[in-house]
Amino acid sequence: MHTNQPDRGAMREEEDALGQVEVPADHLWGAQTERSHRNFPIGVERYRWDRAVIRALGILKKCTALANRELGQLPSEKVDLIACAAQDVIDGRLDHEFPLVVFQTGSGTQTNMNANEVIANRAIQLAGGLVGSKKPIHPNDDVNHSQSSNDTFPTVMHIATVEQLDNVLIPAIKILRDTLDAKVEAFSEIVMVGRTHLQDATPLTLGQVISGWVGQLDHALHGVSRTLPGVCALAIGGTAVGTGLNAHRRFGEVTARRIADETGKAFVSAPNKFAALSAHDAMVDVQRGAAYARRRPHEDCQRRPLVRVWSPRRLRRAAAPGKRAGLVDHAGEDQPDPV
Amino acid sequence: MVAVQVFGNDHAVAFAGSQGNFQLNVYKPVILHNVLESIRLLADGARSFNDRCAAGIEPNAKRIRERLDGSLMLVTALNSHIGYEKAAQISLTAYREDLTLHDAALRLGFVTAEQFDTWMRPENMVHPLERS
Repeated sequence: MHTNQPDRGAMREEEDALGQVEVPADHLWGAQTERSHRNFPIGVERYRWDRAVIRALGILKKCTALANRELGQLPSEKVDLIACAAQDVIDGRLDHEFPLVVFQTGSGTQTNMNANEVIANRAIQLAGGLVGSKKPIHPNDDVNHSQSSNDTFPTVMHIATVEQLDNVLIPAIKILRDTLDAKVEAFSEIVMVGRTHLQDATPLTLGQVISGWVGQLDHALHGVSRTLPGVCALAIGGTAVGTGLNAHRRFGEVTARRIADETGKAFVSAPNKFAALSAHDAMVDVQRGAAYARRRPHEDCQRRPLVRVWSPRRLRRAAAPGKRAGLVDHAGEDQPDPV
Repeated sequence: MVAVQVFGNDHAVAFAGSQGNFQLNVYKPVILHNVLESIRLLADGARSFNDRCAAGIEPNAKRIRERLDGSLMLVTALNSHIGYEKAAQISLTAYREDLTLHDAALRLGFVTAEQFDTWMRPENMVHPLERS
């Protein structure tokens, strides 16, 4: 019955230290990825790693390969193959080869191995070898050379975060800030009722109101930007516990420089690898900055509909017979939604 | 709602960040996920708010003027001319008897119509004192 079906459902053998595992034949991931895929079926559809993280994994693996060549740790032919395969990961051609989710080992080991296995098998394909054979490229000995999950995953965390902050969040806030800034001048002559404690206060201009929002967004931008130096410091080079065991003395520094070149961001080697592995205060700081960035616009959004309600005269009008019940008369207007 | 989600993520990240033992924090994936989700939601929210709301904000000048003219707090403009107590009396009278400030002020006899029109200029109330 199934003989005429195409490859769908076909499996191949992969092997790791624990033994053999069957993996889908049409995928490049290996035994360790497959084990995690089976053992952590938690939030599978919602919590897969997104493009930003997969791209960061590719950048890291390409740059570690180049650093290994620069420091004489891997033969040039292997580095070329790894860098080429990693480029496919960077460019998004292999996103479907990353099936794992957030809820896995707390060090991110399985996602590090997912990258090692996929890049190794892709490199093997490029070399004309047999996928799963680990020849000529081995996921641990070659792709993960001089590394440990304990220093690669925090490095990936920082690469993804810096790129998203710098390329996505900061520009978005700037656009909103500039849009509002243009209104400050445009509405500088429009005098309106001020409002304190949700009640009428002395007047001000609409331009002045909006200039306050612009000032708050400037604070928010500063709050986000000031967290960048912390996440530009990379753990790579620390390996398992921060000592740098099995890595070249200059591996962290050379890899960080490579990553800076690859991304155009100001990445450096973290000055203390023990700190870089054992805590993530820089990430907590970014999250705090982001929450701060939201607090201001959140209040502005809440305020907009409130501008339209509540004054003694309006209260009387809204309460008049035949009008909709409640304090607010929104007839003919959209109901405001919280954003 | 974006803000609420980001504040929630903030708690998750702070908690995860506090969970290291010895040489390794082992809550790394959940930290990364929450930080990236926060960044994404904030950026999408800011762009959407920009494109679909902020960029198109146009004041309804007529309504703004009506609300301004009807506001009893404009009485503050009279403070420096007739004193706080009398100004307060004018606004309370206007509120209780549903009068305009103008009518209440004249009925109480605290100002002349000319004085009222000269002093009651909302556009002069939006900057610090410039007159001598």
